[in-house]
Amino acid sequence: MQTSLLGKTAVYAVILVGALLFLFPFVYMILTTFFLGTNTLPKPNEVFHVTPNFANYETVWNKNHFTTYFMNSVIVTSVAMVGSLFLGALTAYGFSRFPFPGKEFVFRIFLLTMMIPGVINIIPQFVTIKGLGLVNTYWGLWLVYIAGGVVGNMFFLRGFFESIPKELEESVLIDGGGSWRIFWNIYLPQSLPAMGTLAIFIFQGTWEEYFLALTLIKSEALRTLPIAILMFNDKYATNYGQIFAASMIALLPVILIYMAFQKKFVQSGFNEGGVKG
Amino acid sequence: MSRPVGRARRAFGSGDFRAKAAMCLLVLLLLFAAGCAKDGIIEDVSNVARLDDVPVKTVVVWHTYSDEENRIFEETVIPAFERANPGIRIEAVRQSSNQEYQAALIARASANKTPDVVRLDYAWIPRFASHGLLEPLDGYPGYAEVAAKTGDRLLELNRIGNRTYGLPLNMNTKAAIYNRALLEASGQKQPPDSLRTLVDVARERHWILGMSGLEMWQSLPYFFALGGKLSDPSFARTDGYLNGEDSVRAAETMASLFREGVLNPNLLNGAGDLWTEIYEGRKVLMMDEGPWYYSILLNVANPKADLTRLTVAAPFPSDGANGPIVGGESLVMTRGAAYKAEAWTFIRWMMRPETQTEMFGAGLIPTNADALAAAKAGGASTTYMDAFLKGIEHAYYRPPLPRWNEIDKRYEEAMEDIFLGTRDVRDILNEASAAIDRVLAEPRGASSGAGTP
Repeated sequence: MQTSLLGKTAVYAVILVGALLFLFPFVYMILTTFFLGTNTLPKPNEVFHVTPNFANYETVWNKNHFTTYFMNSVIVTSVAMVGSLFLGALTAYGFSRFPFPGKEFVFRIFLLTMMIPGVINIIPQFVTIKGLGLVNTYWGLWLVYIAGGVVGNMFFLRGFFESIPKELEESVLIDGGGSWRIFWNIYLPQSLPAMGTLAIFIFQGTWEEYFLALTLIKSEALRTLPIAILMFNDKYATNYGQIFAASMIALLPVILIYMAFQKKFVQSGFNEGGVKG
Repeated sequence: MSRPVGRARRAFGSGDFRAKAAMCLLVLLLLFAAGCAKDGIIEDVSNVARLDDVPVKTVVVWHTYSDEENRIFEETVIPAFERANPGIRIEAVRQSSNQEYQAALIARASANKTPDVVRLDYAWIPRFASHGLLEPLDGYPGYAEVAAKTGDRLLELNRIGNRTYGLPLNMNTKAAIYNRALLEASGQKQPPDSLRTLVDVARERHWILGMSGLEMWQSLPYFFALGGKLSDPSFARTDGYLNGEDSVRAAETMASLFREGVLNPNLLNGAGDLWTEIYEGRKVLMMDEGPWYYSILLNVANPKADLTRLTVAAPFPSDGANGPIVGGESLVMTRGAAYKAEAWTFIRWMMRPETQTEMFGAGLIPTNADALAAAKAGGASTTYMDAFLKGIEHAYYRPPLPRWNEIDKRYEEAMEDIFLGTRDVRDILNEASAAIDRVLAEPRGASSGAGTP
């Protein structure tokens, strides 16, 4: 069917306006980072006449131990992401392929735990972490980040795993492989689009996590990036130029991770044509 | 039987997947390797005891000082304390002040894993004390001496039941900040003492009075100044006060001033940029703000304007009995503090007039009577600080109630309804008063978990 030129123009106009609407706050934020001493937000007429400079970026990079916290966040988030993906995938594999008594009941209990707001969990989590002697350590953070993500990740991956044809498993069994081989060589590669998407979600969620890190980490040297960003927010005033510059720096790894994995979003149909007959 | 072919088979040895797996492994290996990077067996030499060492106890202090305040605290106050007390080391940890910080502190306190000393907002103390998380300070040696210099009204803010859980470290209140050019153009030689006079000036010239919001901290000064009342003197009930004739009249006046455009017309949609408009524009005659307005804007790297020339600060004009609310922070000791005697030594050090005078350099108004007198005598009366120092004398002291935030919320909701003008003001205040009185009637739980030192 041919779309008329008028129709096409209207569609593109709507798309363009929509894109501009979404982009405008982001552009405003970037332009605000070029202002110095901004305890109030600059007005639109000022914003579009500012001369770009990196003074705020330089200040925040050298203030409030920003670089240390940035590297701390890289370590915490990398390990949490790998651990969460791996454990989430293993759990999803178990739930999608192995029959066991009370499977659906356990699954529903798992889902129930997702409905509890994180802030309610904070005291029991802290008491448990303290009991394990992991307060003020990254191991404590990893334990909660990885274990806390298992249910959500499993829920996300289970559907993908169930759509993978059983026949692919049988090919491994014929070649003498076991359950681990099936998981590693069939399920993981076949669900790369889902894993890529999940990796971005986990990275972003952990990278931006503030509350647990604030509660668990006592030493300034071990703090993560969201704590550093909020340190720019004084009790009575916010230096918007600095806080936006800090947020822009913090956003870079998320953008990089997105660029690395975004191809996986559109790569659907991994197993199409994988089974004959 | 079907057989796997094509992509699925290739996936067995997918180079792309292997590369990603290898990357993950590399990250993990690097992390483990980092742990093995130490040269010697001793990880932290500074923590190893020596024969000639005086045993050092580390007191952990959490605070929310701003940049300038923190600079004086860490570079001057703490080194001086450690020099005078060689057996005590202070580990100061700066935090950002928000609701998550409060929740994190409560979570840590519940598991007895708290810092030793915390600088807490006055308004937070009743809640922490009612949960049994704070150590009463009134039994420690020398307390009476410190308390005598602090004054009973401020101590009252930290008193739950008959125990005192914090020592007020610094205080503040709001003052009226005027656009100097507009004030002079109005023919007023001095900022008026009465809000009604100010309202007449603003109404006549179509200027704006910059109330910044509807929470108690923001709107109560105007409500009080127009004759409104909140409660009986002991804050046992609000019926007959918050919904009394004077209060209904005050609330109606505020709402009508808002509709006229005299009281910040942007109040319900973000309040606008009062910090800039007060000196830059030609519409906002007055706004109310704390001393940080000057201490922050005068200390930025390249100030946009000479605030001391463009604005005038004066105590908030009032025709009522009370002025703006007294705010500030106290030092508290946590119930689970590891070194209580040392923590107390530090608290006492912070209450000294010398220390408070140092911190006054960053705009923190002292609570110690001697330091306050020295601040007034030392030239503060010629600066913007004078308005705040004078304003505190008539300020309103909030009662130390663990559920104060609920009362504040009821008040704010009532004000919202009044300013939206959807219902009768008297009905709204009657409902708010009844709701607040229900909160007040419930057991305060003030000393349920509290004990003696």
